[in-house]
Amino acid sequence: MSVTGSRAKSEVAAGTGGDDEIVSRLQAGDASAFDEVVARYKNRIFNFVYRMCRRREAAEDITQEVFVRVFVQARAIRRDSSFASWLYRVAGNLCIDEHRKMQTRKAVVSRSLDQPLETESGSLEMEVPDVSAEPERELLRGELESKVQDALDSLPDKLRMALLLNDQEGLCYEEIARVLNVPVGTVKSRLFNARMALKDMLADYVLASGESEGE
Amino acid sequence: MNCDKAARLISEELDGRLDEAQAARLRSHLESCPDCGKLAAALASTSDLVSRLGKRGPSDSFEEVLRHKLTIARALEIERPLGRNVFREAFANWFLKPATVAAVIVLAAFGLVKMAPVAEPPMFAEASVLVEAIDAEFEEHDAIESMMDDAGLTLWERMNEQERESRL
Repeated sequence: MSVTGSRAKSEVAAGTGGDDEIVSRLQAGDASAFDEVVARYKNRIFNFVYRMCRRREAAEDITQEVFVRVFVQARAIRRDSSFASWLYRVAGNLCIDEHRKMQTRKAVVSRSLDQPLETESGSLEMEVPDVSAEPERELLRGELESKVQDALDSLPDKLRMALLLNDQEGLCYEEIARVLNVPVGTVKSRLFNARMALKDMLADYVLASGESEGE
Repeated sequence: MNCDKAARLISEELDGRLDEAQAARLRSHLESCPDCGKLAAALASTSDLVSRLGKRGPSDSFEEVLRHKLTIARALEIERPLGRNVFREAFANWFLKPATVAAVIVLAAFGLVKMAPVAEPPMFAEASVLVEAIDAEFEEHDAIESMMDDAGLTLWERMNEQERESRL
């Protein structure tokens, strides 16, 4: 039975199998284990961080910082907890730190996109990519994605993180609970509240999406 | 089942978390409640929009920059044991002990000087030599620490420069 097309999630589906062995090798000083960790998780952690902070440069910095911490704190990683949870927790905490920093900066600096950026080497104009040549469909998709991301951005960090871990990263409730260090009941509650808030913010798009699926 | 309960179960059902009995009760409620039916469709659509957001990946230079950062982290890790453990160990092994011995000798020398009415210059001279030796050891350690700080700073600056270049 599926009321709305349910998506069962599991740790195996989330691709965390075999982490114990990698962590053991990592803790034993096996350099190749670190490469495997990076190869396995760089896209997932980057995508999560990007959706959390929405700026590519900051997302790369944070993702790299996560792996630097893996490298430096390898021996401190507990084998009785999920390695993936640990990675997402570090990433999430760094995102929240970054968000706080950005809020402080925004309060101090407010500038127009049209306003030239004054640097030591002269004045720089902000470049906005011209997408006029791209197909209309791409534009619409880009617009929709932008609207969804705007709505996500307006959610409180706790709700956004739970929703992204679930709907984007495919983590199950238990994994999310470990990442956020909260009970499973709290995860359910945050997901429900996040979806209810998003539903209202994306009312037009939700209806459009529902109609297009029915066509 | 009331509508509030149904709304929460809809969210869990989206994630495939309901058992058969709960799912059956929810289905029964949705069939008899059009508002909850609409809510189920809207929440499903919302969740779908989020899950269909494009997956983003890092840039091509991601791993290269990460390697630079690891090099710095490694350098700092090497410096830390030198600055903390090794220095402390060395300090304890070949400085603290001689210093303690020297202090005892100096105190003993002063004691002897006080006890003896006539000064014994050789004893003072010996203590003075020991104090100078201790000072020299301090200076040597300061110099080593300073060199390590300089090296760490230079490495950090070089890595930052390379990172900037790679980003350009």
